Amino acid sequence: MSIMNKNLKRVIGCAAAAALLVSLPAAPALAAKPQGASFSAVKLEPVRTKEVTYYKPGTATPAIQWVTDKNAPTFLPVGVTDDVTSVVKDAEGVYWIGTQNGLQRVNFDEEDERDIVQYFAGPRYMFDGDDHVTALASDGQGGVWVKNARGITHIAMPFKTLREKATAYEDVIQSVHDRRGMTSDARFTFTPTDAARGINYSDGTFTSHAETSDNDGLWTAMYAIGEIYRYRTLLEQGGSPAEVAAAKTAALRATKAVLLLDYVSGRGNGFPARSYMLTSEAGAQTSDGTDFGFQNQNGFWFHPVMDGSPNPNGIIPSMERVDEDNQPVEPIGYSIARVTKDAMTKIGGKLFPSGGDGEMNYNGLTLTADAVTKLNASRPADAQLGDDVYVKVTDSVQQVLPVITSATNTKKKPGADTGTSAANPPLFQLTVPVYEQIPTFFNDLFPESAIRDGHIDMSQIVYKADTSSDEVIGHYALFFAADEFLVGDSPAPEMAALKGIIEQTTERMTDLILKDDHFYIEDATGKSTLWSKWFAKYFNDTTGAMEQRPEWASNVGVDADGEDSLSYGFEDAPLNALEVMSILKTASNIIGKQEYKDAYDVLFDASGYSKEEPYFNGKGYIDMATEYIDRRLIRQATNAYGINNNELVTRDNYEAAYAEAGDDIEDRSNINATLHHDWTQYINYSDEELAWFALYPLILQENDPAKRPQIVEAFDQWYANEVREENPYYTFLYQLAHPERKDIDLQSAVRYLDRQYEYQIEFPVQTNRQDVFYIEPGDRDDYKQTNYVLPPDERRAMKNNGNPFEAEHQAAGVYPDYDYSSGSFVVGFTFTLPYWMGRYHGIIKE
Amino acid sequence: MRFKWKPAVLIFALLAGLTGAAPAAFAAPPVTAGKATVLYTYDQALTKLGSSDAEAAVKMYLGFVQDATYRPATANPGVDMPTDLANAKTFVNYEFDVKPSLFPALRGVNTSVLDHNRKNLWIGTDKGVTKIELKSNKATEYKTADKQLVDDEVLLLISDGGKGVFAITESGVARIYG
Repeated sequence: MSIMNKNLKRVIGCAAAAALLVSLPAAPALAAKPQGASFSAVKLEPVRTKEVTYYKPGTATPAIQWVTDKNAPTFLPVGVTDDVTSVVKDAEGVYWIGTQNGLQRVNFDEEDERDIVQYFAGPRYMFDGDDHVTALASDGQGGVWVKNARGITHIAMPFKTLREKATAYEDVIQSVHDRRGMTSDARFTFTPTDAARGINYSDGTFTSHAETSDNDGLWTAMYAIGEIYRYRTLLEQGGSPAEVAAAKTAALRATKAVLLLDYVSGRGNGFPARSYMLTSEAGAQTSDGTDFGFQNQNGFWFHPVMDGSPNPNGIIPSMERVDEDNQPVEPIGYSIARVTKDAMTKIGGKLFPSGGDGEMNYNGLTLTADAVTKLNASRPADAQLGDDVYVKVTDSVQQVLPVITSATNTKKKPGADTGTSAANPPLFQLTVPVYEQIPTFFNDLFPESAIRDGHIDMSQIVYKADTSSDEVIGHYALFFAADEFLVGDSPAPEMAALKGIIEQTTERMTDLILKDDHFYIEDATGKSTLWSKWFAKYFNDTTGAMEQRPEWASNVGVDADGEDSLSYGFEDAPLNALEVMSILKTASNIIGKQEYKDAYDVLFDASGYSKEEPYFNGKGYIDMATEYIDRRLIRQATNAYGINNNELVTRDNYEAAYAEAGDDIEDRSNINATLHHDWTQYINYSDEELAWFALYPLILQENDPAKRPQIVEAFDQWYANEVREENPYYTFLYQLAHPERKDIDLQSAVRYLDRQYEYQIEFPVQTNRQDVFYIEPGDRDDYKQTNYVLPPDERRAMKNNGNPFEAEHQAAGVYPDYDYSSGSFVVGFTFTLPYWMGRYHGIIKE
Repeated sequence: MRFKWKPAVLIFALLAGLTGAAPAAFAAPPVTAGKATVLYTYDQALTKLGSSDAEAAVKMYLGFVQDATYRPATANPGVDMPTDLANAKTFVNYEFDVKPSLFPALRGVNTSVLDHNRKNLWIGTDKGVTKIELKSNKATEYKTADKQLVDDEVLLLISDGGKGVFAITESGVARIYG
């Protein structure tokens, strides 16, 4: 393969990484602990792990001596036990207190004070979610039998090591989540080995109903990084050859699944697809089976046509490709935009307060003017895009969307036309050239039926475009981890091949972002995707002018007329700045191009970022990265100002602001948070997760004494809230950012792993409880929040993009015939990534 | 300010004492144990209490209950809040990570706190405060009638870090030395 040869000749510039992370094959255990680290690894202990069996009425259980005595001796005064229904004190002295509102395990001997009382409510623990306990019985082994009016559950409490828990999550990932190596949340059905034994998820078979996800790249990257650490940890810390081999297989499969997304379009420019399906998968079909029928999926989908038929359209300028001699490269096929709702209707909002009607001022799927001009050259004179075929946006603005039908054409804002077919095709359907086959490196991810003549049959694929920065940063974090820890210095041919792919795609994607200095991912429309914008104007249009206004002193960004003037990307700037830093750092280290290094250095330019024309993309972005808290406060106060009829919200006029807001939860939240100067009420928890992906390669690669402290300072701002979450995902990286500190709360992070529920099924949970205070809903939510984080096994299973303080009252009583044999699973990488990362870097040890 | 959980110590001494203990029996308020209980109005508490973690927490909580912008019914009436729980009477903020009770589901208990040495469990209800010595299950009641509380409607108990508690009630604060 030419890729491999190219790779073998290349010198890798990763001196900084090597300085921090010496990873020799024969290195002693914990060699990956950062130099100068002062912290000690937390020794992990086996922990009681809740395993529930569900017995519907009629299912046989062992003989149980039920206790229905609420007056059993307890420490509780009788005056407070009105709602207590049954109390058991087991042989270990643990009280099980059944009430009308769930079950409590009370163990004053519990090592961690926070675990003394543990709560069991909702359908995860109570049959059919009926929290009214009617009887209890000890199982004699630390667990308990629980009876209610609906059925019986057995809550066993076996001791498990965290390593065993990690294996259990891996098993579910392989049986439920894996979709040709991709791992996203997935629905499942469960078949018990013997229904007479009740339903216990460790005693039966899962069937996967995994489907396409908007973020297949990001989620799979998260899993892959964890598996890479698993491989590396076992390799360096004495795993058996079989364990190392299994870990390597899993890491390689997941890594390949992500990298495939960078090739699946065949565009040859590093464009990362959000996701892809085989045409045989549910959701990939169209209403009439042709590319002209309607596909009922959200998003922007393409189907490669590889049968030699001519592309019905011209090639837009930005998708033309030339070889090293500047000669046009001939496409080997073309992909046609599927007729989806978004392809027909996604106009998007305006981006720039300073005005303008050009396509770049709309956050939609519009084609560029250049693209329209080029396409019109090969279209009939009476079917010209923009003149005869277009979608009217406003009186002065019309757009050419990727799909326009006779029903969506002209003079109106479009609704989706679901009635198209081969006999009634769209008037316009965007195409994009296919320049190359998917490398055979990826063949083993596919079933035999999708391989033709030794290659993956691209015509059996539909892929999802309009890819976001969320995806891109996931890919780059994996480029770093795979290059550093999976390939490492392995001479194995498969690793050399992997390295070649990593290098090629890193270079292509970085060049795509930096092309024409535009700082975005360019799609088949010729413009940026909706959510991959890293150019300075997007973040700071009119910021320079706003700073001159008196309102700015009150964190309010408005123009001379008092209107909200914050640029569309203003609040995203601190995250997106870190993303650009991470992208360029990783690209510099993997590829070693001076161009990338120079672009990275400009990010730290002391003259700061551009706030007015002319915008200099990338310059001084570090100063945006360290405005994370400030920009939350500004966005929030500016919202409150707008809600309050363009008046500052103060303690003197908040009642007027309340009147303007009415009962709107979000508006009230913005007003109160502004009064309270509480930036945490404007947190997007998904952004916290994404910031980890951006920070992770930076923290591990950047040792420059001037640059590293600035990156760490940005992380400190994110961590000001993340510390409340006690999530090892954040804690362990924070420890690596501050290797000299001994006071980081690793114990709480380990407790988080201890208390993670083994089967991360999305059960409704009970959040009306007396052991928390509530915080008002944040800007993005309509539910109250708890004032400290509850242990994971007492709250809803969620990835790290959810708000862990979420106190949405869900379990609203009994769920008649609750379906325990199907549901939705959250991917176990929330456990496996921090577990193996912590093991590898010497933060935890078994 | 943050109120961190202290690592557990002295954990093995207690369990034996629990086994076979009699149902809770009530004793009169202590006369000799520690100093006499001090009663404050909210205003007095806000001016007179000091800066220890516990005192700061008391004052912070009083700040929330006295501020309409933290009162669910006035601040954000659209939010689905439990109506019958003492801990849902006020919103708090992210800095206030006090746990109002050990028990998620004892509706008769408004608030509870365990001494850090795990010897005494304090329970606050609509009828005053009860201290339970876990070794013996001996209960001691603290009530307004005995000048141990400002009123009997207990909202929040905060450990003073030693043997005593601050009992915040509807109309005042009692510092009970235990």
